[in-house]
Amino acid sequence: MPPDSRQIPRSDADLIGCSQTEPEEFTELFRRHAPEIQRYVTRRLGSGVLNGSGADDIVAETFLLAFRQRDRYDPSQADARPWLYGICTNLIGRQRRAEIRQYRAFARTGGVSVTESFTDRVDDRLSAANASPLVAAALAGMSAKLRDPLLLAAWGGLSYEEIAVALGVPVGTVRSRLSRARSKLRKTLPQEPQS
Amino acid sequence: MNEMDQLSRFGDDVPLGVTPRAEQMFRTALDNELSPGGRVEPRSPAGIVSRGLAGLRAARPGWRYAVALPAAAALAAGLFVAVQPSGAQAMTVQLLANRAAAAALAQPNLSAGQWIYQVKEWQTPRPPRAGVPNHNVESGWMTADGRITYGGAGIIGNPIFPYNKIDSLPRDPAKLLAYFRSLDPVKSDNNSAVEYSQIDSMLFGMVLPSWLEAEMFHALALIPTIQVKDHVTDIAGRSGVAFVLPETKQSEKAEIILDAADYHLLADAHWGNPSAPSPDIETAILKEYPVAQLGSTQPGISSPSAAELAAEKIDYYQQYLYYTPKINSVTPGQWLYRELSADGKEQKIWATADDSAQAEYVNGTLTVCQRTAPCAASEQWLMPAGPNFTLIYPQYPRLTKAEIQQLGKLPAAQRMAKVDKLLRPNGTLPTLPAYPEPLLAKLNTYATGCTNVRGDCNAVNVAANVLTGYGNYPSLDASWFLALADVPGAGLRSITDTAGNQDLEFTFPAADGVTGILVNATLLDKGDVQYEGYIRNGQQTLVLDQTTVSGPGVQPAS
Repeated sequence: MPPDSRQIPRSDADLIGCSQTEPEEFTELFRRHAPEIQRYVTRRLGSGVLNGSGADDIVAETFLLAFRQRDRYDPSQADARPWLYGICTNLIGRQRRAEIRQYRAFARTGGVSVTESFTDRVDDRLSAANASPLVAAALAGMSAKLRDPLLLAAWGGLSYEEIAVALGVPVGTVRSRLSRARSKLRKTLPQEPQS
Repeated sequence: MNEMDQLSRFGDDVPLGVTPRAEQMFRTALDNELSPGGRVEPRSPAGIVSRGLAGLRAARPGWRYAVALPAAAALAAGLFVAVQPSGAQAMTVQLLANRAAAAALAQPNLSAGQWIYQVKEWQTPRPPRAGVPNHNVESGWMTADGRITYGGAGIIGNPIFPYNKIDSLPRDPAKLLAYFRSLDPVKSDNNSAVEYSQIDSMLFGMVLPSWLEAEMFHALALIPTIQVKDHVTDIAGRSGVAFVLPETKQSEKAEIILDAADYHLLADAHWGNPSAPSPDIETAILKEYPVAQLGSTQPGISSPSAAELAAEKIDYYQQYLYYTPKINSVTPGQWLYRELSADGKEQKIWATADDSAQAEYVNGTLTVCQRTAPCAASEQWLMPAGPNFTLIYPQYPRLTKAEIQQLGKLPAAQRMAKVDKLLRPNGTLPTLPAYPEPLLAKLNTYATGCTNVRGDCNAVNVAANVLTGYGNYPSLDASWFLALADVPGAGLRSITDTAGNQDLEFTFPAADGVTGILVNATLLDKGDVQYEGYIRNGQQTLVLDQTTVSGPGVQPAS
């Protein structure tokens, strides 16, 4: 633990430790990370009529499962995000039909379905919008073994080591799955001159 | 812009935030947990989820159907009518269902853990651009229950429907549909789509027992909006006949294509635009047959042994792990503190993760021995023989604390590109074979001093050595356990070890080496894979505890 840890806010690990005896402390973990987890789940499952409340369920279940397993939390992991992402990735796995449907819809519409219920701003879509349906189609055609580490990296912003923690596989496995996923994705996208 | 940037932008306008509903659900669930008697003790991951929020879904119908009709009764009721193909007869939904069901019933019944080899092809109608394919052929392996997948097999590789619940499914197509509707988490009013997609994913995501596959076709025929389409051709050019689910406001048009001659499953298609000439995405099963083991492409049904089923269970939980492993992705030189029990006697020892150095207290003095030093000759190495640590756990570059801090300041979109830059290794690192058969062959090439070479004694000894002596715990890949299950004569039994744990013992007949490898059975049932030790000459060597420490002689903080 770094010597200056007393001056920074309590780590997730400290929080989880406290929640063993003060369960209410766990709501702070929800406050910290639920927004990010919900965003991640929504990007994977969408917010359409069929999927929207599914995302809510998964967010709630993620934190409920985490709460029940808090006594098994590795206190050396200061940041709980890999743990939480691991649990929610697992739960998303059970909704993979909704997830695939979401990517397919995205591939079809050119990228409005994820966001349409949140915002009407489709005019300022990114310059990459043309490629987005291809990304969606690639994600739909990818196995979960490859898609999970890929999206944990790209959307969860997790490092290789954090992904390894989240998915419970060796870093080397993360590395090789990620590289396979990336090459799969790359093959789907238009070739560009390397910068 | 590279592919990770493209991916980062995908959906990046989804706002950061939690919905009031999700928050309410969590808080209510937490209150339930904390109220006396409110907690339901989870037994399995599936149980956790299905029961976890039960109180919040009061309106949901229950899971169970109490009584299942025996298959014979269903047959006697005349549900399954085999009708010979006849070109002259107009195809109807009912006729197609009858023929498909008859074809399904002619298939052999497989057990849940049976390995299946699968080759599938997918295609989208998007015209190929430079370097952009619009179709792909993928092959791989899956277990019949769809839980474990390697390569491109299976829909996605997650449990689609728990196989152990299959026997309690109603053997009546109308009740089956009602049950599928009850599974819909959002209680959509689009019943046809809900029923169809459950059937679709079960047909294509797993290999069902023949009675259930037959029932599925009868159930499809009962979906009110379902139609039949004769004379279709799948993307592989095979002629077929299809069940069609027409498009509604909430769901897209979809097809399940069956072979026109023998009515086996050919392809699964989903339309974006229902009047388009071809589906948005079509996935055709080119090959699908049982094989004797993972990695084999030779057809063969081999009912998995108890050892193999246990290995598959380990594989499943490694893929969908709930728990953070205690010791994971450590560097080779990381010191570990270990408490061992050899034949009931406890021993405290320090060793590096790759067992290149060991230390223990002898007469009150800490002695450290490097494997390269003269003292090594008299040392009892935890890892006496086997592949190098880095061959099992390839060491890719790691981020420094400073680098991680810097990354945290970057926008998420830039972060991955930066990470990739920092971690890109110079070429791929050597590893062991990934699939059980070649892995077993490779492990047998290490000399461990045993004589029953044909009994794979070297591979068994190496596995015990690696599990005991290397620190990266418990994430030794499940393919090792699958390989061990393929050792001639390998078996499985339940024992209580000398530390009092309930273990599964993988047993091996090789008498001159390790005869048993122990995995904690209680934890495995909860989804946690924990190696406990091995048995040699009837004596147990157990790893009671191990934890990372800063150096030799350092006691872990309790």
